[in-house]
Amino acid sequence: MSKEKGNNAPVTERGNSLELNIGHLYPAEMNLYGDRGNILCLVQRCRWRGIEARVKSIGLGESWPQGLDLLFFGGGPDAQQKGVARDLLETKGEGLRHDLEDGLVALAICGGFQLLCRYYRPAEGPDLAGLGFFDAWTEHPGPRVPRCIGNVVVEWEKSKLVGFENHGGRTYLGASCHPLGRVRRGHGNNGKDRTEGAIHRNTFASYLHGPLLPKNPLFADHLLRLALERRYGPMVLPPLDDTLEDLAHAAALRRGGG
Amino acid sequence: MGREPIPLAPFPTMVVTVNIRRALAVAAGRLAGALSRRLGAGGGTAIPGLVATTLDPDLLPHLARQLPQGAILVTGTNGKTTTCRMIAGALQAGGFAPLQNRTGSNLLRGLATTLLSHAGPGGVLKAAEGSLGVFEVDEAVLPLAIPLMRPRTVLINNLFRDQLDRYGEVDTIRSLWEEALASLPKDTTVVLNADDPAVASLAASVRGPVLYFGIEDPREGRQGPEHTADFIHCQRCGRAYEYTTSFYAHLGHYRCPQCGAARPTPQVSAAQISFQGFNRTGFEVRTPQGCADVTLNLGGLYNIYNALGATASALALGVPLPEVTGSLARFSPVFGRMESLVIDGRTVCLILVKNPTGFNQALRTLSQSLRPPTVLVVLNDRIADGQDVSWIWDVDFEGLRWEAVAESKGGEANLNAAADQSLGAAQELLPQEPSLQQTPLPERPVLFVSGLRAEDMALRLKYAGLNVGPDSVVGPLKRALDLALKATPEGETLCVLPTYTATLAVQHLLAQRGHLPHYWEHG
Repeated sequence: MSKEKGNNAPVTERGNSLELNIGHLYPAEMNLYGDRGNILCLVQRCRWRGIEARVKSIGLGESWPQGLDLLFFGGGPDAQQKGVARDLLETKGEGLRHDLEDGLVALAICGGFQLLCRYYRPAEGPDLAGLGFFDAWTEHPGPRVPRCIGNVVVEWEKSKLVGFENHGGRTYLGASCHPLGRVRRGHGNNGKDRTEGAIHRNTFASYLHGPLLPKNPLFADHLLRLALERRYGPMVLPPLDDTLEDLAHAAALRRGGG
Repeated sequence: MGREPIPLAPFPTMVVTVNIRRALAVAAGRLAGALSRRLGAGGGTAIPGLVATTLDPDLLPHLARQLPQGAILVTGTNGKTTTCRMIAGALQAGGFAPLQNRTGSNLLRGLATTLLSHAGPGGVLKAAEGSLGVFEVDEAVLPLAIPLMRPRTVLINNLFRDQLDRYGEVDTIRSLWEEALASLPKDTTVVLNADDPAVASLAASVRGPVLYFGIEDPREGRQGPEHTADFIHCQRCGRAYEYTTSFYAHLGHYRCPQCGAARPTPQVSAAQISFQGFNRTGFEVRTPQGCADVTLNLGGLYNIYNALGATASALALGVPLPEVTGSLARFSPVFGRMESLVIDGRTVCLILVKNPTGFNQALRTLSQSLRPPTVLVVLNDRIADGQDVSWIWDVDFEGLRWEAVAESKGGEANLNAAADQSLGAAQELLPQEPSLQQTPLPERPVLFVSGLRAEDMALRLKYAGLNVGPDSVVGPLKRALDLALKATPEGETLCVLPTYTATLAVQHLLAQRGHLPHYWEHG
């Protein structure tokens, strides 16, 4: 890895080295399916390019921080989701909504995705209010209906995203909400309309674990470039040696039947 | 004169039918097992039971009822197989004749297969007077097994995230256990891990006696639970627990600052723990019958929990303490659970890894070995492994780096396996930049990855900052094992870390080469 480090490190017009502040929402509560791998991926891909990446944990009870360049919000167990939903709206809602509308680059996976939508309707009990950033909502069809579990292949831009989904809730997109991609294998948002995830402004949402970014380096670099350009202006990211990433991508396609 | 009608036995035909059905079921099950072995499909550790109980659904409770000393059921995410072997060893030393299901065959069909192998043609159990069933039971199967087996003791060791694609979420399992334990009669003893808040809190639904075990040695603890901890919030009121010491995952000494729910004081505990290399451990066991020194031919804190659970269960079944500790000292590892053997002058050690907590514990155990081993990880994604391989990103490989230590220590090396992670401190989960003071051993650790998802494993290790490249990825197991052995100098150790089905494959390969007996021939 050291041979990659520092070579062709992008710099600002004044020659300063670049840095990126990454926020990790609720790392203790929303961390169920290896989603922290997305953070590891973003940080390493910065580091290998000589970009300094800092990670800030944003936990229960903490107020919304200033100065983020990229936000990650992972999935968690249903039991944790209630407390997280309340905390999200009470202590962070205003700042978070403002930043997302302002174009903060963000990635939300599974439970994180659901909490950025309008509401989550559990199998029993009252609806759980979400941030309402995405014009979308989620309904749990009840414990007798099987969860959406399995390998997923999604068409995204001109390539494919691979991952693994494991969710009980079915998410439906409103008219003003665009999907991240089109499901080729697997269930995606709801198993019916072949949509997967959502995009609004610079916020990307998906049901894909795996984790999503390491095996989809094109998508990871897409997020990094958006975040860096938002802060520093247009730039070209120096390429990395993605041999292993491409092998893992191909293996997931092979196992996922895509 | 009319003849009196001959009184008929009530429903004679039905009795006959049932007996014929049972006899057929027993015979068919045994035939299926013999065929399975003949066809090389495996040891028939589940098929006989599956066939027989399909033909006669009441066969399992019918056979279980005939166990002269009843049964103990053992469950938990990690350590079932090892704990059962320890219990069986202690029971044997105490004069019982333990009857066990085979390694990992822990669904109802596996239990039925075990009992079937001791049954006569009509479904009569031919078991010695002291026969006591020691059965490991899959976490999700415990609620089904309890009403059928009517155990006299139930042991629950731990609950971690595992095979989420199969179980959904860990809370689901805990709720299932809660209901299952509530259905037990008052005379069933329940043995629980005091250090696991998800397990210890199950006591609230138990009507009979509860026995706790736990670790009392704070030197083995860290501050605060690892990031893979699943149950960090109070089971009663939902507030985050406070830990005075944390052993691994969410295991430790915890207390809820809001409602006061706290770790119960264990009746059976371990103190004065000392690790001697990666596969030998000494500790003092403290019990209501007194204290004793124990030496285990196993490494890892998790094996101390296994030993404590076994000790508590054996004591509850009336085995005296000296017999228990004696049997623990004689314990030899179970296949794939730290079993080691010598191939061409190289020690090959096999540690099953199937979830983040188990994998972290395996890495921590390796860190206690004196010299850096070659490491071969075999990652499969079959149903029994979990089809979702995301979990490897919850394992702390970031610290898996051998560093040469000062010459004065005689060139020994030590592995900082991942242990000092603290919750939420996101920067700490990243690999450390190599510092100039460290002199890395040039060719170690040598890493290989294999299995159906070898590429995923390689990628995980790459992002942990470890030295892997496309050459480290060797899909076919046979070739991977050969390369890894070749890369291990004579006198050194190769550590193989396979997932569940990969463990079977490694075992099969070693058996083919004559290094190991086939798994169904193990005790």
